[in-house]
Amino acid sequence: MSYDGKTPMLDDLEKGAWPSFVKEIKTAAKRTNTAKDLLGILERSYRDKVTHWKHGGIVGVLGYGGGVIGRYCDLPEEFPGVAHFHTVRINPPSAFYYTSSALKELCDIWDKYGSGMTNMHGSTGDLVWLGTQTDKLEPIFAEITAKGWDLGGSGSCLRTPSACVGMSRCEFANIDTMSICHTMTHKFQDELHRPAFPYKFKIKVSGCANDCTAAIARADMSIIGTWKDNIRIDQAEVKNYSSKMNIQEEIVGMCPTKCMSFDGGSLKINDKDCNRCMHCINQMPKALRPGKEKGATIMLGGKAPIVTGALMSWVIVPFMKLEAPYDNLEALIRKMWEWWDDNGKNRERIGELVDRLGMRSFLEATGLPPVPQMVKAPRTNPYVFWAPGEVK
Amino acid sequence: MDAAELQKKIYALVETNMGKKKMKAGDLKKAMVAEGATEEEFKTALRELVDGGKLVYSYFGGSFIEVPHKEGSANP
Ligand code: HEM
Ligand code: HEM
Ligand code: SF4
Ligand code: SF4
Repeated sequence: MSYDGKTPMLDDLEKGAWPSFVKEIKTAAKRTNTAKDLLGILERSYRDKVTHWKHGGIVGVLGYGGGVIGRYCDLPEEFPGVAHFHTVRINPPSAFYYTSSALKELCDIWDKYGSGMTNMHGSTGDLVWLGTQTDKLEPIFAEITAKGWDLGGSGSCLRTPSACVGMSRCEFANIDTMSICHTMTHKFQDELHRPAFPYKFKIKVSGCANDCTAAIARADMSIIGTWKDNIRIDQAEVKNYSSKMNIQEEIVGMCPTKCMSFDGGSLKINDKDCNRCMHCINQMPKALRPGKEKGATIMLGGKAPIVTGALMSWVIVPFMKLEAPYDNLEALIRKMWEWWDDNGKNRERIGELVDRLGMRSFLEATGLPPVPQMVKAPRTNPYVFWAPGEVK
Repeated sequence: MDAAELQKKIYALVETNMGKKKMKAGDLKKAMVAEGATEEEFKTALRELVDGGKLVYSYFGGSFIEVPHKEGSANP
């Protein structure tokens, strides 16, 4: 049976006010057979209630172990346009800044070799190109690298690091997120392109606890900007806000650590108890600002459920000064990787390894001091247990 | 360890395990370090094998090192 071009079930997904992916694929289908047959095979999958995609595990470019995700379909005669449907991950600039000419340059390459469909940006943080064939991969790689672009990560490697817009556009940024992301990407080129870890490793950098990259849930290493000294208060501005909002209820009452007080005139913060959550600063940005001693909290272990359940990152360094070239951060990351390499099972994320072997083993290997901020929940206390060698 | 000899050993280990056990870069590293190579020597040797197309990376849940071949799922 050959495909007649009709897609009644997909057409249904064009209804309603929200932009539709079906409409976009149909636009691309006017130009490429890949997009045309993508519509066909998707309609067919909806009808058959099974996927028609197959995994291509060995597809890639010479020398790299990542950056290309291989896919084939199981109905190549019927849908020749998607007989191969490989995805290419392009490493984007820090915080996704492009000039229009850079975007045109990338789109021209993609129109030449692929389906024309993109995903900007995938959940991985990569600029994603959807749908090309094996024989196009080396030409694509040659063209992008000639223009200074590179592939991103996939497989058991360092995945493409990503960052929030940070200091370029946000007054809350406590660290230069874009520079950290860019620098780590360059320092760890080998780890990014030549998978040698037990499983994937993600680094995401957010300038403050608002965590716009969702690093705490999505990165094995979450780097989140914070400050060490006191929140800066402008009492005159507090007064202005007090005429527009109920400071007692909306700010003081919602402070998670209950460390604020307001007497109707001036606002007080007991900074020793403040956990730098950003709530009050978000609500009153003119009156409150982060302190001046800026750095980052380094957190470990965030991941989605794959082999075991989802984890949120937890604190491993409460405060680290982060200044270029970030050698302190690099040294910590390398120590963590060494411990994970030595002990991790296939497909075991670093957070899962900490769960299995305990924080004590992790702390001994990295030389990090045990501190109270590491306690993420009752019974996860990292510092009350003895090492086997210490018990007589 | 001599670079050519190390490359031979890595290749042989991958080849003899093809179809039996998928080898990760980490497994190969541990085996070669046990035979007296340094981690740096191993990294360089593996890189040269892959850059020369003698071995390739593959991905099935995790990343592995294999001898190049046409995989079952591939369409012409
Ligand atoms: C000087 C006296 C005490 C010290 C230094 C002490 C210390 C600790 C520590 C370090 C923990 C672990 C906290 C965590 O990991 O989150 C803990 C937990 C606990 N303590 Fe104490 N404790 C003391 C007295 C007591 C007494 C008198 C009781 C009961 C009558 C008690 C009952 C508990 C319970 C039930 C937990 C477990 C709480 C949980 O995990 O949710 N403790 N204690
Ligand atoms: C034979 C007797 C006991 C056994 C086998 C035992 C076993 C355990 C175990 C397995 C844990 C969990 C440790 C972990 O978090 O990984 C624990 C925690 C605890 N036990 Fe016991 N226990 C015994 C007696 C006691 C007694 C007599 C007390 C207090 C009077 C006590 C107080 C606690 C407390 C407070 C914790 C929580 C510690 C923490 O959260 O860090 N235990 N116990
Ligand atoms: S995470 Fe913080 S610093 Fe970064 S963009 Fe969001 S609010 Fe701004
Ligand atoms: S940052 Fe959060 S914890 Fe700190 S004072 Fe403001 S609301 Fe309270």
